[in-house]
Amino acid sequence: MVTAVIYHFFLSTFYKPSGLALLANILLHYVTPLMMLIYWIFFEKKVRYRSFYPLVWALYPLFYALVSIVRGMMTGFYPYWFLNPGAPYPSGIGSVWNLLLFIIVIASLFVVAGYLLIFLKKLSSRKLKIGE
Amino acid sequence: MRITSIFRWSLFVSALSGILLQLFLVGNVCGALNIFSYYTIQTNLFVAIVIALEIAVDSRRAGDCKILEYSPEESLCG
Repeated sequence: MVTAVIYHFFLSTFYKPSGLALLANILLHYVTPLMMLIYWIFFEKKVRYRSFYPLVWALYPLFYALVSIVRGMMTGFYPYWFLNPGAPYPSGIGSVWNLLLFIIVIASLFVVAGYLLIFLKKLSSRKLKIGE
Repeated sequence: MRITSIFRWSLFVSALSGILLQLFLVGNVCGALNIFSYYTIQTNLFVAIVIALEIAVDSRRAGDCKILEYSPEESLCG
């Protein structure tokens, strides 16, 4: 879900592939994330999710961002423009404060989305049980 | 069960084909290693691995059930 949303809102305007690259792009950024979401909601067996799970789910993207920023500061290579605090928009995010603000806002949004997904999962599990 | 299996395979093929296609498009070893710096490629790889494991575990369970069906004792698989 993080993959699809971030790509769609922050990267798709800068990246316009064609041919096979377009196919790979659609598979990686839209088809697989959407299928994974459907799979998790309707086919995944585990029904009980604890309240802190969305916070745990946010750890990997945060860790990825941290590693990418540190690596970028050492090598100059940033995989995504919004992780680069050293360059102005559109090559970078402009400053360390902008970067921190971006990370806090996006992480908070994804934690909220995580709770919403758990709610949807509970709803779909309940409907499936009623349908049995 | 059958729908779950079909969906799992489709998900596995989608994740893996996206990565392989991207690797094919890069065309050199250095670039191929570099694409694993991207979050998209990492998460698609995780999806492919997790789904492959689920397929393997489920097919093993199904195999165990078939063996139990042939045993003289009552099947435990329902």
